[in-house]
Amino acid sequence: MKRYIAKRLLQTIPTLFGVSLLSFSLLYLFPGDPAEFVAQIRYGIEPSPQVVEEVRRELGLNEPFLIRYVHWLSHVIRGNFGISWTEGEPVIKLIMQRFPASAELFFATFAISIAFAVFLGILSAIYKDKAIDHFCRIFSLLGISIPSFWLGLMLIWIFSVQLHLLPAFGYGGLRHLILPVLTWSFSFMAIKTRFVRSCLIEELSKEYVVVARAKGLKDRVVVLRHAFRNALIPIITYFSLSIHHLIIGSIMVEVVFSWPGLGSLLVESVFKRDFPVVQALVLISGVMFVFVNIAVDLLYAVIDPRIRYGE
Amino acid sequence: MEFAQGTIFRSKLLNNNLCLIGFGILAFITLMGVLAPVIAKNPYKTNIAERLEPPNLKHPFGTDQLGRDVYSRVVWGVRTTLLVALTISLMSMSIGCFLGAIAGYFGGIVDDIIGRVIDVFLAIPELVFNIALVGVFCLAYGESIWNVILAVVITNWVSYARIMRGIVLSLKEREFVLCEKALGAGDLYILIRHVMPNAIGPMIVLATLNMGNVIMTIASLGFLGLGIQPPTPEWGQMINAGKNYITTAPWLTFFPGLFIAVSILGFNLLGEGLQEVMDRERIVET
Repeated sequence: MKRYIAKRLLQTIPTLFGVSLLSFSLLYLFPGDPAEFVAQIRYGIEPSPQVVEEVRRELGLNEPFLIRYVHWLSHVIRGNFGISWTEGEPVIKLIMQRFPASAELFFATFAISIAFAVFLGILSAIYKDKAIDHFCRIFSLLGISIPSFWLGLMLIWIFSVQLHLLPAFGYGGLRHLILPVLTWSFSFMAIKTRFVRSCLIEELSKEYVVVARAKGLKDRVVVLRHAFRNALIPIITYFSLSIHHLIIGSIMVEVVFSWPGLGSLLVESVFKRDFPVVQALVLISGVMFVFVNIAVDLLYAVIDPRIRYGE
Repeated sequence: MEFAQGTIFRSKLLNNNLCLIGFGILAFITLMGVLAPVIAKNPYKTNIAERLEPPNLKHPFGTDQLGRDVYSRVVWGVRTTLLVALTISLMSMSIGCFLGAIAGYFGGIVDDIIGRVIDVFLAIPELVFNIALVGVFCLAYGESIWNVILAVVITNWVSYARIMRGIVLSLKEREFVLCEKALGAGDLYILIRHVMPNAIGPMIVLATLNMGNVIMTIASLGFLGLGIQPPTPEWGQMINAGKNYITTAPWLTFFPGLFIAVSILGFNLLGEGLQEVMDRERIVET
C-alpha cells in the first residue's frame, strides 16, 4: 500500500509542475509593460519612469523568466500568491473571502444532485426502456444541452419577476440559495443519473442477481440490498471526482446570480486585468483537480485491494 | 460485400431515433443559417422608434434595446456560431489527432512528453483556462474572433489526442499491423492505411459530441462579454445584452437561449445515437 501511495504521488509531480508553469506563463503573456500598468493604477495616469522602475523591482519583473518562475513557485508553495494589482491586497486574502460562498453553493448542489441522480438512476435501471427511463434520458440530455446561464435567467424570470417568490440574485440566507442550486443541479446531475443507471444495469445482469431472484427475494431487496450495494464503488468514485468543483464551481451560475464566489472573482479579475488573481485561480483549480483525482484513486485502492496488487 | 455492409449500417442509422431527431434538428438549423439572407432581415439595422417591442407579426421574436429585429439576429447568429464552432473543431481535431497518433504510435519519450502535456491540460478546468486565455489575448491582440477560436482550441485538442492515442495503442499490436510492419511498410503508410480507417468512427462520435461542448463554450464566453463582440450577432452575447431587460423584455433572453439549447441538443442526440449504432456494430462483430 505504501509503495502504491508513493508511486501515485510521484506520478503527479510532472502534472503539478506543468500546471504551475502554464498558469505562470499566463502572466508572461501579458502584453505591454505590467509594471507600467500597476504603476498607473497606484499612482495615477502618467507615472514617472522612476516610479515605474520602482514598481518593476518591487514585483520582481526585472528578472528573467526562469528566475521569476522559481521565485513565484517558492512563494506559492508557502501559500503566498502575491499582491493583487488592482486591490493592493494579498491574493490569498481575496480568495479566502470568496471561498465560503463557492463552497456553500457547491455542497448544496452536490447533495441535491446526488440524491436525485441516485433516485432517478435506480428508477431508470429498474424500469429500463419504460416510460420513466425515457423521461430520465430526456431529462439528462436536456441537462447537458441547456446552458446554465440561460436556465438561470429563465428561472429568475419565472420565480422572481413573475411570481415574486425568490430573490433574483445576491448572497445570504437559504432563499438566495434556491435558484442557483436548482440551476446548477440541473446540469450537475445529468450525467451522474446516467452513470448510476448503467452501473446498476450492469450489476443487475450478473448471476448472483438471478440467484437472489430465484431464491424468491423481493425485487426491492434484490435491487437495493444486493445490486445497488455492489454498484456503489464505481458510483462513489465517480461522484467524488466532481469534488474539484468545490474551488471554482459553476462560473456561469455564479455570474448569473451575482454569487460572490471564486467563479465570479475569476471573471471580475479578467476584466480588471488583475492577473495575479487570475493566475492563482487557474493554478488552484488545476492543483485541486489533481489532488481530488489522487485522493479518489487512493480511496479506491483502500476499498478494493485488487487495484494496488494489480499494479 | 462492402456495399451490403454499408447498406446495413445505413439502415441501422435510419432506425435509430436519436440519430434521426438529432440529424433533423441540425439540418433545420443549418438550413436556417444557409438561408439567412433570404429568410431574415439585416441583423445590424437599428431603429430606435421600434426599440424593445414584444414579439409581433412584423418582428416574430420582438426587437432589442436598439430596435434591431431579434429574429434576424438569431438567424444570422446560426452562421456565427456554427462557423466558429466548426473552425474550432477542425483545428483541435487536426492537432489532437496528430499529437495523439504520434504519441501512441512511437511510444517512448514522445509518448511520455505528449502524455504529460495532456494530463496538465486535463487538470485545469476548461472554462477557467478559456476565460483566462481570452482575457490575455484580448489585451494582447485587441478584440477579434480569433481570440475565442485560439483560446478554445488550446484546451479543446486534448480530448481528441487522448482518444486517438488510445486507439493507436490498441491497433499497434494487432496482427494486421504487425504483419504490415514485417512486410516492411513505412510508419506513415501504416498510419494512413490502417490506423485512420479504424479511428474515423470513434472520431466522428467524439467530434459530434464535442461540437455541442464547443457551442456551449462559445455561448458562455459570449455571455460573459469575453466572446465574439457586438455588433456581430452571437447568441451568448445577445443574452448578455438582454439580461439587463429581463424584467421588461424577456424575449431578448429567451429566443437566443432556445437556439443555443436546441443546437447543442441536436449534436448531443446525433452523437449519442451514432455511439449506440457503433457500439452495437462492435458487439455484432465480436
